Amino acid sequence: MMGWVRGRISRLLFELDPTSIAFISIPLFVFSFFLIYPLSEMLVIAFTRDGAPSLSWFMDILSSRFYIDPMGQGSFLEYSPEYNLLYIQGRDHGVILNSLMVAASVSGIAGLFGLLVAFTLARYEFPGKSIFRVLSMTPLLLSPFVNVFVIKKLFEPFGLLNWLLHDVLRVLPFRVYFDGLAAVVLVQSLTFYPIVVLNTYSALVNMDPTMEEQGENLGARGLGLFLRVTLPLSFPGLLAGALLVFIFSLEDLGAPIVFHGNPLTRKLISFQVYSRFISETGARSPEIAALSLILLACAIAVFIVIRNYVSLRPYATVSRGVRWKPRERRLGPIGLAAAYLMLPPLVFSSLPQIGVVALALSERWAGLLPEGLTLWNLVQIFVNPRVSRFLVNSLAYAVISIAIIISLSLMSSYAASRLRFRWISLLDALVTSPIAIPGIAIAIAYFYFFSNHFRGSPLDPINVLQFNPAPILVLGYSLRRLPFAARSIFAGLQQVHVNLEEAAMNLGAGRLRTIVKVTAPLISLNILSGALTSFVYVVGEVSLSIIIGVLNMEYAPMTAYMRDVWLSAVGSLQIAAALGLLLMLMQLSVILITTVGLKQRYAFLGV
Amino acid sequence: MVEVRLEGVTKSFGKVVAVDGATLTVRDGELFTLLGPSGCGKTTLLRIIAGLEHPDAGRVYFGDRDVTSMKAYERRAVMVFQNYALWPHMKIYDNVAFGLRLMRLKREEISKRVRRALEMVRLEGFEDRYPNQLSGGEQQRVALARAIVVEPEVLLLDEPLSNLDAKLRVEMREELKRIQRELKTTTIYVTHDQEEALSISDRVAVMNRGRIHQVGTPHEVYDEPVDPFVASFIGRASTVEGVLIGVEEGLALVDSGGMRFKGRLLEKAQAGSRVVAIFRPEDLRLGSGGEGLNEFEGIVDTVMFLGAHFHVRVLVDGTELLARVEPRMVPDKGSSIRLSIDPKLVKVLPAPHHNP
Repeated sequence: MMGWVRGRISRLLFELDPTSIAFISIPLFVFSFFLIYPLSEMLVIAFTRDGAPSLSWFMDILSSRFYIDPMGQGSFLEYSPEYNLLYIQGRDHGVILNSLMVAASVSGIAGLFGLLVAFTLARYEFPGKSIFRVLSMTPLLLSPFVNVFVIKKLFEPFGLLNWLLHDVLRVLPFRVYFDGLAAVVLVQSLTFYPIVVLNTYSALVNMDPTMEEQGENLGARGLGLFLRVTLPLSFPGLLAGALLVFIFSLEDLGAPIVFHGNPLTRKLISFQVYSRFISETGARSPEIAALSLILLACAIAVFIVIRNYVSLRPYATVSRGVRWKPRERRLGPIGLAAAYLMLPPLVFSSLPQIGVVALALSERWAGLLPEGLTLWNLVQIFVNPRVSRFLVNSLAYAVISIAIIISLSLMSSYAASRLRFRWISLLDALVTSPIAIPGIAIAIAYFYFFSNHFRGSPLDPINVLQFNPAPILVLGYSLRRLPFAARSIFAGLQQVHVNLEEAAMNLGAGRLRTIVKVTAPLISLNILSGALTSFVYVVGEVSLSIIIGVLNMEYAPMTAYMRDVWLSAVGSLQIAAALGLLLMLMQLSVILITTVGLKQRYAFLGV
Repeated sequence: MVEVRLEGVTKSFGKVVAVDGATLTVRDGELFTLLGPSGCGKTTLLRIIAGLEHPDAGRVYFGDRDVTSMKAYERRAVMVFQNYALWPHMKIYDNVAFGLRLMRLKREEISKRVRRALEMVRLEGFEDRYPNQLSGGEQQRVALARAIVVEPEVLLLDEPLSNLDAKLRVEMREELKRIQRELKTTTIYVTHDQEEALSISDRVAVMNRGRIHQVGTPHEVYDEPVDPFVASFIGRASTVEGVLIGVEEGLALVDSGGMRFKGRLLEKAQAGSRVVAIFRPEDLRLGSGGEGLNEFEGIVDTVMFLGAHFHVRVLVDGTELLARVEPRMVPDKGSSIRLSIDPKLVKVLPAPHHNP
């Protein structure tokens, strides 16, 4: 027994050295102290009433018809003969059920359409395919709030679509007006379905073609083959995509904020947390904590399902490493017609991005289309100090965040892929967990955390006059966007043969020197692409920016300015669109640099 | 430079025991080979000596120093990897100079020693190239230069020739032998190729399933195998199981059911116990022998052409014997022939309790 213990200890000491200890403990410390601890503190607040442990905040929420109303109120749609208008807004089932139903509908719609698009792209060859591909990825270009606004404008009773479908083409016998929850479902489906396309597409092209060929060989074909072989094998990818969409829908603030004129749109968890927080600033309300936790719990539950289910993936790609030609076929006339039927919705889902560009270059948008071509808005971003300030803030935060992101993800990815400890994969799980944690929950938790432990200091959000959100934003951005860089660096480390590092250690190089001289240069492309990707997602971050960042506008980032157009009627819509355009251009250049220049995969994700 | 001593070294990965109680001594300055089939634990043992793995039990000594818990970069045991592990982002010069720079040597000293090492492996003038501009054999030699340039106490070679084609392999192994003789560095060489092992080693350890079966000179392991595994793994051999009838005039009399023959008993065995007899193909002769030889009559089952000679598989009362035959003497398949062998060349060992 003693010998066994001594053996264990000497093996542990053998694996440990100052570098490996630092590489494990620094990320562990940062994530425990700045992610797990604030969230658990929020947990304690939510479970305490008058200084005693209590379930009452949750009981209040769960028993209130405002939050849960299984019967529902209102009518799903109404027809007004007076205006010949079909008004669709959805029924009100209370805040929590509304959020879950919206998220479920969005993942259902996005899942179905995404599967259709992914399958067409992965298995068929037809003229114009590259246009399909580009269109299906366009909605992933970030332009928070402004893209939602464009969809809103397009769908107005007298907007472009009704004009086209009702007035010109006469396909619709009446005008259609989406509002309330239906509008949120519409906007989110259009925005998020490419996440399903990406995941399903990669599952389809990574599938060993002999699987389908064997099926055909045994007599299966067409729909039968698809349902019995293709769909089951690509299902993990499809499900992962749909569940990610579910999480993104739950935590989305863009659609509810832009449509918040309708009371029904306000009855979503994310908006409730946000609006109460804003209206009760300064109050450390346990009810908001409880509500944030409900949001967090839903997202994490879904994430656990993804992690468990997606681990089945290797099954479908048994003969990895062998190069194969993916199965692609030409489409017959009927198939071609079916494929082109997808084109209108694809074009349509790209309209918001096109609209943002048009809006950014226009003077006004009063009628069907934006009018008056101008570069004034774009110039304003750079010359008007009241706007450029936000841009400068965003860029500064992004640069600092990237430094933190890259160093932390280098440490954690190295530890996870190189150090041989039994529980080391938990570290990897911990640093990638922010994908599943709604930004709103982190923002609220930080509010409690910093107002409690840094009371009266410039880091205290309640200390309104002196509050400086910059450090908190940088910290939050870093943790939220770290998974992208960590994935990229981890993938790079898996490509580097361990022998290359062992050879250096063998010649007398310690671990740190080995990493600096051998490992890091070999994964420099992954580091660079991880840094560029995080840059885009830091600049486009919404939740923390509009919850913590707006508490002192002096230090607010550009997404806070973009939100302001809707909530505090400050600022110009066109300038917000110009900022959106700038963000999309940054993202496009990063995509180009990483995929064409660095030959790396660009990790799309995140809102 | 130093003697390497292993005492009861054991290492398992999960439920798989990779190395099981390995005890051996590698003498100062010798070229010592760990030989065994793939998966026998020889590479793991080498990595333990290099400090890349920590054994679950047992100790590793370099001379009098216990290095078991010393990290790879604290020992002076340098490994040449099977895949060479040359750093693709560094020029050949920088690859070779890496270890010297860590020693904080002067610039001129480094450049002198790098040049000498490259000369030794016959790669003068390759300093400014990158590894991917070199052929496999050249890369192999750079890997060797990178290791020997730091004058390690122990040089570890992990199947260094396995990625080379057959002709180059033979050339390189002579080179290796020459360089090792010049440097007199204690060298531990891992291979699964018995020909390679026998041709270059001072001594060989034959391993299987994590255990060391025999340690000895190439001649010893070939001529005096301690068990059927060693006998069958090194060189070709036919094994015949039987019962020991008795010992007469120093020779064992064995009955295998169909055959009755004499052989040399390599280890003590009781009369009546089960034994295994080992016949090397090159020791079996076609035709009747002279006085005192074992003789068998059998039917030619298969004739295999091996280039310089033939192997003939002969069935003697259901037992297979493999015999080496010169081309001009090849019998017809199905014909009945006579084989003979000197009893001193038949090795008789106690049968293992269970087959290895």
